Amino acid sequence: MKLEVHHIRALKGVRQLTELNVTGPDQAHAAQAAGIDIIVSGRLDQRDAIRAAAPGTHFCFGLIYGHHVNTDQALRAAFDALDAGADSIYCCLSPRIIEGLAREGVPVVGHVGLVPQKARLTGFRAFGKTLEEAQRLWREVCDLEQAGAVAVEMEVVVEPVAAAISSRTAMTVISMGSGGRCDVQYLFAVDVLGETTARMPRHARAYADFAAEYARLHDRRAAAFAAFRAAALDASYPAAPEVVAGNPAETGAFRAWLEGSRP
Amino acid sequence: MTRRLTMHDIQVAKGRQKLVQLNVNGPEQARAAVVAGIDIIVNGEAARWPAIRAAAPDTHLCLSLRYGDQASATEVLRAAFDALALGADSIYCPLSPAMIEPLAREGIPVCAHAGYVPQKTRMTGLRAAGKTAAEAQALYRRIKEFESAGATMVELELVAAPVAALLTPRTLMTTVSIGSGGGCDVIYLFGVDILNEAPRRPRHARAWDDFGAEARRLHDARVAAFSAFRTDVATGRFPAPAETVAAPPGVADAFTEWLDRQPQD
Repeated sequence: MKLEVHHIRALKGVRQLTELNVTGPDQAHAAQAAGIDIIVSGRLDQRDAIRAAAPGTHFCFGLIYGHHVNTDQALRAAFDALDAGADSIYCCLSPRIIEGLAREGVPVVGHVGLVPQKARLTGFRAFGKTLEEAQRLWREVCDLEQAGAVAVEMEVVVEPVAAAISSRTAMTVISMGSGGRCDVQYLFAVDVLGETTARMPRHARAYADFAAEYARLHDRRAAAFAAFRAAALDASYPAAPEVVAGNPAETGAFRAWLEGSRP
Repeated sequence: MTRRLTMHDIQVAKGRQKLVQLNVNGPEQARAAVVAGIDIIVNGEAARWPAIRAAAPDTHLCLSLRYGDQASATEVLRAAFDALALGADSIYCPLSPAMIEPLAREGIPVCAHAGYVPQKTRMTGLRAAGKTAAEAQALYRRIKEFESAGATMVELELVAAPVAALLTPRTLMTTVSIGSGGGCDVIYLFGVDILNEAPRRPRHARAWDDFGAEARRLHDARVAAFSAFRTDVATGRFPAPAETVAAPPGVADAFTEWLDRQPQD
């Protein structure tokens, strides 16, 4: 059964949910088969394919930071995503813009702690290591809740701080590297699959080695294409069943016409 | 290959050296085509062009204008220049000689399309071309029109092989055979057919691998990995301490005490 926002809210404190950021329909389809509760993607070019690949899974569509410069634009994009079948909207903009979406009934997920889109300002680091920063996080969470957000992604926040906040807010708290005492455990599918040959975040865990799988597939692609090339050059491709023979009498007539028309 | 072929190189190879062309569906196939020494790669999905160009910087890249996207010579020329700016070495255009001529006039290497043209099956039906002398003659005239318009290549699709072989030495254009036998200048197939990735393979295509089975296997591996993540969350085995950030001593207690003093809504 697809979880709607009200189901997700009702499950707060009942059981941990799982969430994956997917790059496309292959991962979305597998996430549904694996019983993942929520999938997320901000890729507009993949949005419809992802929705179609996982019709029974809660799909949170992400508004890309920088694409929308006021509430009207964010609301337009959010409505477009809901029309396309999204179940909720991720938006890492300020409570002021989130309020504009929530006011119109759009289920919004905000973002606090390490927000990579804002790392120019904050640096790439863990959050909540000092009392002062933990207090600031709490106020940010309260502001989002006040604005009407239904959930908040909490990224790389020290574990006891995330746990304390999670137990005190009505919002669903989505942990990305913020420990196991929030409401939802969230990872990127590329990390879970071990697709990233680049650096893996410390908080992520790989359950497969798709980098090796892809390297193997690359070698097989290259071998198949090389076999095609060799066969084309030695004329073993195309063989008789792979060509249209035509009609010998008609071809003969065409040849005679060609030779007559070209002195 | 150290240097990518220009259209000039392709024309010089006519009658001397057979070339091999591949339609690639993305950067993965483009990268493999480079390793395999494929001479020409083709793609018609504009969103993927920068990634494909980056994946195969030294391979001749023919970018395809999609039938229906351009409705005037001006639009065709604009789209072709845009594709060249993205790194195309030549342009495939399935439109008429009247649309191709303005491209050639401005120095753009163009590949035309004759025989069975899938985009035009409403008109022709889905069938091989050149099975009668009359149809072969019409094909000859069509090819000469493309040649006069300035096209330097022409894709011949599902043309009776002896007819394609008769046409090839009688045109200055480089002929590209897709299902038109081995007597053309270039032999052309789709990467998805060679890898058996498409739901259905045309009769003229040959598969050298079975990526359909690989796709099913990878799907199962994805499901297994995601299921393991889900199970670990449900049983408390994820996240482990190494995957979380611990608080410095005292911070958690001080924060909890402060939280408890906050006014309740």
